[in-house]
Amino acid sequence: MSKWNCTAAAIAAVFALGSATVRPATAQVPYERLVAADSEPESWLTYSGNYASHRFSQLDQINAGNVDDLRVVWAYQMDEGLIETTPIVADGVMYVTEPPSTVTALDARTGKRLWKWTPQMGSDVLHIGFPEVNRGVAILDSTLYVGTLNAHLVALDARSGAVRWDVEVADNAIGFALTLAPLALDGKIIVGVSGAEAGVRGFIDAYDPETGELLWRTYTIPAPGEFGSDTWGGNSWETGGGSTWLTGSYDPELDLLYWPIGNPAPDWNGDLRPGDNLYTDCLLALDPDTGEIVWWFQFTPHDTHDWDANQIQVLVDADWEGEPRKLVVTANRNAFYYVLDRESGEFLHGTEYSKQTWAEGLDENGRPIVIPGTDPTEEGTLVWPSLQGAANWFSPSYSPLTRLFYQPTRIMGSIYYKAEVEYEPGQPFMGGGEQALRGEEASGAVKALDVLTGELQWEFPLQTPPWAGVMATAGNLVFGGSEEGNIFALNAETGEPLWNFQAGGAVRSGPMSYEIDGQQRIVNSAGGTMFVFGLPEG
Amino acid sequence: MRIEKSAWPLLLPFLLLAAPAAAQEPGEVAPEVDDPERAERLYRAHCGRCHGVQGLGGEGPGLAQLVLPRVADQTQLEGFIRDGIPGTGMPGVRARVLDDDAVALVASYVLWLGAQTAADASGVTGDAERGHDLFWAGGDCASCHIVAGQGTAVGPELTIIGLRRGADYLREALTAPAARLPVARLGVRSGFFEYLPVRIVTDSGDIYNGMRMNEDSFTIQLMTLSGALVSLDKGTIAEMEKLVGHSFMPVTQGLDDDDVEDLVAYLTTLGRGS
Repeated sequence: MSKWNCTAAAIAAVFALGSATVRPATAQVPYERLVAADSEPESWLTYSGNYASHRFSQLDQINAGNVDDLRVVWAYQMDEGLIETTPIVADGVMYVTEPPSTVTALDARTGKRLWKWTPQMGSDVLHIGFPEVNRGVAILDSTLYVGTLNAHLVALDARSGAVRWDVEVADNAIGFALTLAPLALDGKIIVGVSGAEAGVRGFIDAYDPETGELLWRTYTIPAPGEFGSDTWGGNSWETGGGSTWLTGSYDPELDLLYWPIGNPAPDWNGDLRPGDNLYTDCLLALDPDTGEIVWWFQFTPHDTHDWDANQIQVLVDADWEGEPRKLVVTANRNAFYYVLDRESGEFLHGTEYSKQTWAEGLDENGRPIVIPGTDPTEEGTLVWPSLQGAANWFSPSYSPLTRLFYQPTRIMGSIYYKAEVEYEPGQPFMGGGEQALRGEEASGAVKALDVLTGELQWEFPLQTPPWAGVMATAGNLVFGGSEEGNIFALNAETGEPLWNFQAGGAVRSGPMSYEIDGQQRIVNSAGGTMFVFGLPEG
Repeated sequence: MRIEKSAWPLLLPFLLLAAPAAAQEPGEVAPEVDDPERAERLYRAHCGRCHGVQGLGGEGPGLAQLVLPRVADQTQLEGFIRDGIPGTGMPGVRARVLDDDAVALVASYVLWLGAQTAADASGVTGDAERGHDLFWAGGDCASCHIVAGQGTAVGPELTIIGLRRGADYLREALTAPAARLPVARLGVRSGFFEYLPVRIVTDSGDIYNGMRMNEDSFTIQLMTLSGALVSLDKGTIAEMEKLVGHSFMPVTQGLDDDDVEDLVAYLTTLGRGS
């Protein structure tokens, strides 16, 4: 045996000295680990932390008693652009996306880069209605999955960043793009698409993790003859939008996939698409083996304000009127909070959680009672919330300890305009615009809602409407961020501010937490930099 | 007034789009914009979602002002439209969506929007020379404003205000200064009212009156009327009153209509030469 031919054990013996750490050479994250993600809080294995999308960390080393000591352990400066990503951490490696569609592996202990992969996309990639962002990767076994701005799904070897396969999900030339973190299930990778502002017909896809073969595709806009096709006048279904651009949730016991659906197209001119426009602004429950729609619930029928339902769908088990029940809850862009039965889709409860002026309330089926005169007009119509909604893609959090649902909330109105528009492939297809209120007329808050009633328990005011997600932890903390550059922690029970770091750039990502060498870490990004925080050791 | 060499690029849009009639409706665009109807349609489709259909801003900054801080000339603006601005929410439209001619058309429309809103010098009827004397002597304006390096930096810097604001805006600022506080457009103050008067009482009983320089959920920064910076943690503040609808700018009592028009005429020359 050559003296260089060391065994892994020998390397481990050498490097176990000092502060170095040796971990398995390959990240092996089989489905069994994903489905049991709550049992390894030192990792962060999916976009929202678990299949139920709680974005809750069970780590409590950092807690309400010591969070004031939190400091930067390392930072990573990304390629130029908006950071809206949530990293994955598995087996000592952090996998994070950089703008626009780059994937980078970092040593989770030091922040040193291990590899970096950037897709070749050319300079004429379309992204109509949204900036060049990416929200993260999925991991399954030893492979990472990333959606790209030019609408490809790419499988990368987690050890090297080498491309295992690359498939075109849809044609970017007519406006399709992928910005979401894919969702890895048992034997399939689920993705959705952006593009409603270009008048695409949205869909959800499932791919074979090994080969990239398309397993099924479910369109979100029914074709003539299909259920719901009578909710579209004329040929409007062909350009009906219904994007699927945010990661869904999964219940392994019911074996149901929950996916939120985006706005109808054109956004602000509803005259061109008479009807309720199914399944836009819906939550779909799907059979993950076939893509069949098991049930649907529409939050905003015939939407004329661009209120996608692409918010994180949070799965909660709780007693409802004395009976244990499987629920899905969501704070919708339209400013209402919803509680649904996630087996049947039955509407159980809904309530306003942020200022809105477009509906008198919800009827017994959860359908909004729309106030006349709130549609966009050529002269402009002032309505709360604004086009970006009371909520948007940024993540809420649910703490099973406090039973509170934490929602970053935008409190902002807009003057909505309607305009004529004709569909042209690869061109904006929106039919109007908005002028949002600004200055002291717009603000934000982190709101803590009772998870079952949606009633406000506390709120922490934010200077301007936020674009940053939140994460609750078992340390009785809620981490969040602001447009003004604050990365902060609040008491999860009271909302009292406990820690603030001025990061010098707007926070637009979702916080997450992991543990390495026995040390809990908190991760959030601001401006062009990702920060990793921890307590002083020793 | 002598025009600084560096101001020439800023003047370019004004020179290109000289003196369009006031309060034109979009669609009745001045002849300097080729094919105004198409220009307006393209603007609304590609820009209106973020910058507002009238260019007054939304998620993105307002464009209906003569000077755009990042834009030196139309060529640069075309570059921003084509390629976007990295690190911001501004995407590029890419050649597949708008060809170079269409980009140029949209750029000229954006500059026209600014000219429409801000550069209307035709409403100036006063005597700029007399306005100059009022500004520097009778009006005591320099005790709060800086022009060409002279004065105090409590209120807005006015060295090139004639490029940034039109006569109507300036007239309103003189007679009803609180009517329209400017909104910050860049960085971590984006969306804030600037020059907002704030009154603060701390837990220890100190009282501060000043203009907000910046604020987040945890801290606030004021400049007092004497020009001192006050930085406070919100946890130490007992009372805070934001005087929305107020301004530290004194209403021009003692100035008659002619005085106001003369001041407007003087301010309009600042940055443009006269």
